[in-house]
Amino acid sequence: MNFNELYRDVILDHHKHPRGNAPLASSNADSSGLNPTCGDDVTVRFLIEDESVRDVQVTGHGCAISTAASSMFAEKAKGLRIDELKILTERVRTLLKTGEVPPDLEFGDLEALAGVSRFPIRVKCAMLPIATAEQAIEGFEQRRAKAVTVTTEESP
Amino acid sequence: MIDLSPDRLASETAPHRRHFPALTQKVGDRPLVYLDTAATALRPEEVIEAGCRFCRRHDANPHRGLYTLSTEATEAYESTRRQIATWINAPSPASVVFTRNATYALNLVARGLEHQFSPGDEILLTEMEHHANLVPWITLTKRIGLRLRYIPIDESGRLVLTDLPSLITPKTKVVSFAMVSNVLGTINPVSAICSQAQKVGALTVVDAAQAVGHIPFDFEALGVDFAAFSAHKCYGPTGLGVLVGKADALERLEPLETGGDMIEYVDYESATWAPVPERFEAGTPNAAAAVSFSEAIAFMRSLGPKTLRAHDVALTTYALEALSTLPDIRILGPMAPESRTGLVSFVDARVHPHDLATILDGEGVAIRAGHHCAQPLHRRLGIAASCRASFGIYTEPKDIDALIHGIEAARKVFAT
Repeated sequence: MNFNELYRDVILDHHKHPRGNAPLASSNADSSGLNPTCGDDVTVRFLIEDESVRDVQVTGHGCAISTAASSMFAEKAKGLRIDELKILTERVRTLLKTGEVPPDLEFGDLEALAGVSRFPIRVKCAMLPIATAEQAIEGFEQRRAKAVTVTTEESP
Repeated sequence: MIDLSPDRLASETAPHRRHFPALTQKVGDRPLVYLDTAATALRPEEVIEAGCRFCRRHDANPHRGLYTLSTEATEAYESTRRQIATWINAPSPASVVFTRNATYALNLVARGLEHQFSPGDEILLTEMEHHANLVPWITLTKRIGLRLRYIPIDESGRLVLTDLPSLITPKTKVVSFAMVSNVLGTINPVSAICSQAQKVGALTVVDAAQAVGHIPFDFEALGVDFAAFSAHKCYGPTGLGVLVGKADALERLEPLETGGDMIEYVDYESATWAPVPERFEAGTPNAAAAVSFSEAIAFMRSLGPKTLRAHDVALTTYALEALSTLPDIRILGPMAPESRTGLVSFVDARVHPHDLATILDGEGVAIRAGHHCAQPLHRRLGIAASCRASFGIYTEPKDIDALIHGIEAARKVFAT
């Protein structure tokens, strides 16, 4: 198996110079994820305002694939609306599964993850920041829904 | 004195390698360099052939039928049991219990003893245990309020026995520990621990999965109550493990699984158990694996424990020296080859273990990367994961050279 397919230049660049890991002044959608088999961990923090990702920070410890995926994801996620972000994470899942870049979305550097699909054992490395981000958004929406419900019940 | 010259080692290894058909294959366009024997040892042709022969000829249920095939299957299965007993010097064939693997054997001990424990009883383990000798006890602890205690390790990866007298108390019911660490390679002082345990009447259990096939193993001489190991780590098939126990210790265990073949008398309301060891072997056993393992034992006996051990020491010495030449490599475990078996775990400060394993795979080199089923130990060492290269009788110096070459290649990919 040719590992150049996996460790494309753009992936190595994100691994060596990760983006989107600067601390945020505040955040309202945070989550942490762990890959128990390798011990890799990731923390995703979003600042969501007006249904959009105002800012994002992805940090963690892990292999080149998970750190690069984190960096590329952070770069791409900033500025997206929540619904766009959900489509993005779903499409990245497809990309990692099939290796084919879905034609209906601008992936940016994340496209380089297509090569990971040929290394099934490494898919979970790339999935770690993606799944953690999904979890953060899910938590954010659940809290918001709950808050809305409570408000409705309290109104006279 | 071991002659460490790579040429000499290679020429000694060559005849052994011819037994292993898996070694002739390529991974992609590279010849396979197999450095994961501590997970599963490759199988000699004779072992594979014995399993096939059984399937072709005798493929019937042992212990069941009155016809010729079943009688032959029973004889083949039971003769392996007798062979194991002789090989490891077990008290009798009846003290050899066939299981699925070493993990099942350790579960059988932990859960089989459950009815004998009371809240507040203590189980003594070590900080270097494989999950197989950790999780069964943790599970019990949660159910019945046992206390787990641990023999600590020092910075070199050896057990610290100075506090043993305070760790083993009248509350200690079981002392269970790895004979050899699957991460550090450390060979633990079994008799020193056992003699202390016996003073308080605690049962002793050794997880011998990494020991059998690597260092001389004599059950009676060790003086332990139970020992567990797996066939596939010593040139045998997967799907077969062994629990060896002293007769009175085995009598204290409740069976984990019930059903066919483990009973004596059954009516609609009750059942009585068969004697040991059948009591612990419910259902149709993996007879083909047992027959196959018989050939693995013959293979190891033909080499002899001294040869197996000397080969391990020579390769470990070579690997420790080779890895030490690279900067930014942290080798786990004791640096003295005679204190360990044929495995070397390490962390490369420049390349994550999983990236290293992937790149090595591209070079045809198979190593283990991760926590090797020892998460607490890795945390204790301050790391999340490590790489492990482990050796068998077929491993030769150029396999280690390929490892070093692969590490250098990986470092080039990840150089900033």
